[in-house]
Amino acid sequence: MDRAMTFHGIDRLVALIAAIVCFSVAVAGWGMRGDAGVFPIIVGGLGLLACVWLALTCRRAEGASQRPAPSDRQRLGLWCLGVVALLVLIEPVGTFIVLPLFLIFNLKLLARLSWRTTLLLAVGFTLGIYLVFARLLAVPLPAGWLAI
Amino acid sequence: MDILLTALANVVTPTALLTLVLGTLAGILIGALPGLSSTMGVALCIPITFNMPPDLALILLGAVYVSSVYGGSVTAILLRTPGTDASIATALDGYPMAAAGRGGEAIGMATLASLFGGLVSVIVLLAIAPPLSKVALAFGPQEYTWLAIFGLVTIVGVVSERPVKGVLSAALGLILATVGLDAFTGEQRFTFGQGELFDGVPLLPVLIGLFSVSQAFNLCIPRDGGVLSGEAQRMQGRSLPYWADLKRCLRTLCRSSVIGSVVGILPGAGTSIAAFISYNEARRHSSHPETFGKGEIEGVAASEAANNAVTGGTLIPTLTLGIPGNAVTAVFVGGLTIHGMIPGPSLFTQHAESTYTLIVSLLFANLMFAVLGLWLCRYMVKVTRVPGAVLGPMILLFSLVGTYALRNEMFDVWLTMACGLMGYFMERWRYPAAPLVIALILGPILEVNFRRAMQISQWDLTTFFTRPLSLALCLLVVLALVIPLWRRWRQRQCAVA
Repeated sequence: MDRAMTFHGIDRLVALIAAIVCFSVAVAGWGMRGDAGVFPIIVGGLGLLACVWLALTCRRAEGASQRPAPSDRQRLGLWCLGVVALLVLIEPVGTFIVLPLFLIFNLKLLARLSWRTTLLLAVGFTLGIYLVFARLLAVPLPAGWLAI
Repeated sequence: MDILLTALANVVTPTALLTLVLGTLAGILIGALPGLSSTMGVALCIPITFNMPPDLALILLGAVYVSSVYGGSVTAILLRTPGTDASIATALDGYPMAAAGRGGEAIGMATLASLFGGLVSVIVLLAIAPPLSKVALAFGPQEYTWLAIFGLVTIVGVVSERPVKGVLSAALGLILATVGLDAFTGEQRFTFGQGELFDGVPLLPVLIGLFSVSQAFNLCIPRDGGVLSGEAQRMQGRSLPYWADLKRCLRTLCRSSVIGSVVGILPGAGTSIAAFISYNEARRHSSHPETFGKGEIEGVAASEAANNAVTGGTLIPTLTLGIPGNAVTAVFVGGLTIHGMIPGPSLFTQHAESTYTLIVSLLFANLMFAVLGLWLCRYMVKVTRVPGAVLGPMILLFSLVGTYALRNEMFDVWLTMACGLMGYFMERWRYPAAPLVIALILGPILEVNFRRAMQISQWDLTTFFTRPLSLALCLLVVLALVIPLWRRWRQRQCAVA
C-alpha cells in the first residue's frame, strides 16, 4: 500500500486523516454537557495544530523523498489472511483447534519448516497455552466445537 | 526498616524465588533476541500475572524488566547485533574484544557492570522514592496538571527525530484518553454505544497491541525478519575479567551508574541515551581514548553499567508521582493498575508492602541475572538463530490469548489486533508509539486535575501560577520546551558556521 508513496506523501495523508479525526473530536466536544467537552476541544485543537505543522514541514524533512522499505506483498497477504481467519474462527471453532492450525499455516508457509518440526512446535505451543492459561490461570478460553 | 524486612521476607520465599528465576530467564532471553524489547517482554507477562498475588506479579515484572536490559549485551558482544537498543554502545567495544578471542572477558565485564549499575540504581530508588512520595503528598491538582504536561513534553521531545510526529502521536493518545464516561458529568464520550468503552479505552490491549503484536508483524512479514546474519564469535578466554581491569574500571562504573540513574529519572530519556553519554564520558576521562572502539573493556563497562542503572531511575517518577517516563514504565503502570495499585504517592502508604517488595526484588533480580547470565550466555547465541517467522506467530498468539485472559472479552482481542496493525504502520512510517501510550496514561490525570483545579479556582487560570510548587513545575515545563529548541538552534548555527 505504501510502496508507491514517499515519506512526505505518507505524512500528508496521515496529517489529513488525523486532522479530520481531531476536528470531529473538537466539534463533538463543543456539544457536550457542562465542562465535559473542554478537554476534547483542547486535545482536538492540539491535534489540529500538529497536523498543520506536519503538513507544512513534511516536504522539508530529512529523507522526505525516500520510500519505506518494500515489504513482501505475498508474505503480508498470507500473514493477514491467517490473522483474520484466526480472529473470525477463534470463538465459533474454539481456541485449541484454531491455534495449532494458525501455527501450522504460518510455520509451513512463512517459516518453511519441515512437517515434523511444524507439527511438533504447533502441538507443543498449544499445549503450553492450555497449561498456562486454561489450567494454571483458569481462563475460560473460547471452547467452540470442543465444548460439545 | 520493618517494612524492608517484611519485603525481604516476601522475596525469599520459595515461590517468590522461583518466580524471580523464571522472570530473569525470560527477561534475558527476550533481551537477547533482536526484535523483542523490554517493553514487549513486560507487556507479554502482564496477562500471566493477572491471577497472581500482587507481590509475585510485581516480582515477575521487575525481573523481566531488569534482566531484559542486560540480555541485549550478549548478542551485542558475540554477534555485533544488540538485542535491545540499550546495548548498541556495548557492541562498539564488545564485538572487537570477542573477535580478538576475549569474548568471555567482555561478557564477564558486561555482567558485572550491569550488576553494579543495577544495584546502584536500586539503592538510588530506595533512597529517593520514599521521601519524594512524601513531597508529592503536598501536590494539589495544579501541580499534577503541570507534572502531566511535563511528562508529555519531555517524551515528545526525545523519542522522535521530528517532534511534530511525537506531538501528533501524543494528541492521538490524549484523544483516546477522552473515550468513556466523563468522571464529572457522566456524559458518554466517543463510546459509540459500546459498553466495553464505558470505562475508557482499556490500557493493556493498547499496550500489548502496540508493543507486542506489531513486533509479531515485523518478525513475520520480512523474509529474513529477526534472523541474525552476523558472524558469531565463540565465547573464548576466561569468563570473568581480570582483577586489574576491574580496578581500572571502578571509576567508570561509579560514574556510569550515577549517569544512568539520573538519566532514568528524566522522563523520555532511555537506556540507549544513558549508555552513549556514559560511553563518551568514559572515553573523555580515559588516559588512552584511542583504544575505544577497538576492544576497550572500559567501554563495555561504561555502557552496561549505565543502561542497567536506568532501570531503577525510571521507576522513581513512575512509582512516586504516577508519571511514566518511557514506554516500559508505561507498561509497568498497566501491570500495577490491574492489581489495584494506582501509581503515585499513595503507593508508599496504601500498598507499602508490595511496593517495597518490588524494590527489594529488583536487588535480587540483579543478582540473579548476573549468576544466570554468566552461566547461560554461551547457549543464548544459539537461540537467537531462531527465525522471526517462527517466533512471530507465537508472540501473536500469546499476546491475543493473554489479552483475552484479562477480561474474557473478544472486544479486547480485536482492539489489540487493531493497535498491533497501527503500531506496525507507525513504526514503518516513523511515528513513535511511546508518546501515544504515555498520553493515554497521563490523559486522565491531566484532565481530572485540570478540571478540578479550574472548578476550585472558579475558572481562574492564574491558579496554575500562584502556588510556589506549581510555579516551579511550570518553569520546569518551560525549560523542557526551551532546551531542545535552543540545542537545535545551536546545532544549526554550528552547521552554518
